[in-house]
Amino acid sequence: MPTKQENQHHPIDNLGHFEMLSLAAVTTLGEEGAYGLAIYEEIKRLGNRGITSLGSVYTTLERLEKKGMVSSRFADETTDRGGRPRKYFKIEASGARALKNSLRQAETISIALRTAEGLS
Amino acid sequence: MKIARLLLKQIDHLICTHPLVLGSVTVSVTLINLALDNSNQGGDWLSRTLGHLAAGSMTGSAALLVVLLIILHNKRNNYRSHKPPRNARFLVMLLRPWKDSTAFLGDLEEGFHAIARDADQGLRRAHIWYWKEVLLSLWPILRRLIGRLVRLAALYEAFRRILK
Repeated sequence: MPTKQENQHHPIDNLGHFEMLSLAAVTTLGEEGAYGLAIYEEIKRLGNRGITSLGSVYTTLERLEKKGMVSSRFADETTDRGGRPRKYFKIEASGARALKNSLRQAETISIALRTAEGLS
Repeated sequence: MKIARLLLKQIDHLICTHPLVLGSVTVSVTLINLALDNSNQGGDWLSRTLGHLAAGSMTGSAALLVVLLIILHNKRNNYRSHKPPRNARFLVMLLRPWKDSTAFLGDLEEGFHAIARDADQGLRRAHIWYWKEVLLSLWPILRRLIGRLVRLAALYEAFRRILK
């Protein structure tokens, strides 16, 4: 049962579908594995195989970073990347809270639809 | 045919090794238009200059489109290269915000090498994947740029009608 504090929605907690997928990918990959390309692959694995690109992943993560939902750091440069560093992302408390709220909302909608339409 | 192909390759090389060429096209067309402008026409200096700037920007965009087509045409012969496409990399550096382009380009290069190592047709697939990612990533930026140019042209037209 969610607590009263968890039920309070902040305006910035509203996540778009792609933002939700990006946060989910960052969470599943963990702090040591969540960098651009890995997040992109994870998003595709999680089910979004439509028209998406690595660039849109970066744009979304930058937006989430501005909202304070994720933070980032650069790792050491490597030769197989042409001497360019990886940018690792980490989910922050507000991001985790927003993700939980979005999942709860989706679950509520799903239950309501199942009850109304008899969908399984 | 051979000469035309050689010429296209030279233009491609010139534009990609000198990033300022595209900007120069825009500025040159604006300046040429200004120089050829007959002051007998209606409107004041500011509105005429704005109009020439809009025309110059549009020519610059058209030049960019032509360059893209030339690059795509030349790509057919370059699939054997073990390095990521230089032209695509240049486009990213030109159009994407600098803040994230380093990590973004690194990811593209890592993905390119992973695909190239993977299968028989690896290199060809890697080149196609690289270009697909770059063009999909740049499309929102290009769309915004075109939108701004269209708005600028509409503004100029409105100015011109008011001052007539």
